[in-house]
Amino acid sequence: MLSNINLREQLILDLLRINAIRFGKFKLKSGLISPFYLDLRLLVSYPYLLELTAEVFWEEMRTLSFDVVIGVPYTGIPIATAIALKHNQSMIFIRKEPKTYGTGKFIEGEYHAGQKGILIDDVITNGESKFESITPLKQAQISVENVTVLLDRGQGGPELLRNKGYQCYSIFTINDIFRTLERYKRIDKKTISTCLKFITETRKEFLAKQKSS
Amino acid sequence: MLSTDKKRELIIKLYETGSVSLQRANEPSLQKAPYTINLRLLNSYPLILKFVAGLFGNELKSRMFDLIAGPFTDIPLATTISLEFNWPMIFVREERKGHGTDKLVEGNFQPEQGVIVVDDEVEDVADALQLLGRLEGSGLKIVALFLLLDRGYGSTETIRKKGYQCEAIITLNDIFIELFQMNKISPEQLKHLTEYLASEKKEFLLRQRMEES
Repeated sequence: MLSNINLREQLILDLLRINAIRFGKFKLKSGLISPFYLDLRLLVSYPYLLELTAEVFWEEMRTLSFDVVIGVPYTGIPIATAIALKHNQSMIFIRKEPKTYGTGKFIEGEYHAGQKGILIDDVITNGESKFESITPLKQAQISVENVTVLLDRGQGGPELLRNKGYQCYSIFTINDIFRTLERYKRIDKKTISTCLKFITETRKEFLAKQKSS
Repeated sequence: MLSTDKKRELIIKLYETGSVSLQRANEPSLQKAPYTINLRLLNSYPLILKFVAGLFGNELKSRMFDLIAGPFTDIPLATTISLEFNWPMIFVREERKGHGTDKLVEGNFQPEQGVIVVDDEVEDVADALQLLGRLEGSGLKIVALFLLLDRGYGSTETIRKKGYQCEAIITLNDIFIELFQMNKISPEQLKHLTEYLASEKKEFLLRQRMEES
């Protein structure tokens, strides 16, 4: 029987297969214990999966208007490269730390003032780190209208960007991932409810913290 | 070995994109070097990136290795080689993240795997050695460091002296001679460029000797 699984669902199942999505107990930076863990950087070691990711991005981006694809460190750069190669797009990327010598500063590649860029990244959390990329681009007179990410962790990132006047598209939310894994019987109900509970609680805490600050 | 046709094609591409540019004959010298090199510009031209990746692939496909690795700034080049030849890739972070337990090398790898590091050029020998050290520190074996360009100042020799295999697809001298044969530069310009290269090499070796003593 032919399966009518779409590319997005295929990508989610493959991310589980390569251990980019794991279930268990993981200590986060904040000290919290998370019932799941995501490491999308693993994508770079699976060329066909990186290509699949680029295709999933392209479906989302193809109708948007932009001159240059911009990779955000770290995993955004290989994803942006894969998109640029497949669809013959111009690409630049942002450095994590500006060079202290030589020609480059924050932006690497060929670009011109007045170009419209689309920012590519793997994950969005609260969205604040995206401005570390947008600010130097603005200084170089590249306008960023769109930000496209693979995964929205549900911590308010897209909302923050939209409030500041940017379009933000996320290909999956974390809930999409759990639902797909459930539909294809990769994880049981109990694991899902633990994960969903964790997300709801951390989001509540996050929103409370935002309100107070 | 690079065929004459491919070599010429590469040089034309480097020249046309401005990745390698020469000072015009009568231009007053504002900078010390009679040429400027910014190979990162290539990242913005997907077709050229594929062409360059093809040159790397031709040199690498007869060798034994498990992974290719890119330093941060050459993630697009490493990604292109990985996608074109279906070789798994890992990358080395530009800096250590704030919290201690994080990995410096990202992607999927096992200790003892053999790695070919791909880079556009060695701008700083100490940086290159640090990168190789980070990979070895993660349990990987360095098979070779493979570069697009060797400026010919002596950095590849220095790296070889440390016990690594280090090769480049093209040298700066190759580029100058080819540009001369294509009538892009005059005999006087060629002489000036060659003399400048020789003086850079002398200076590099002198610095190296001072650092060693």
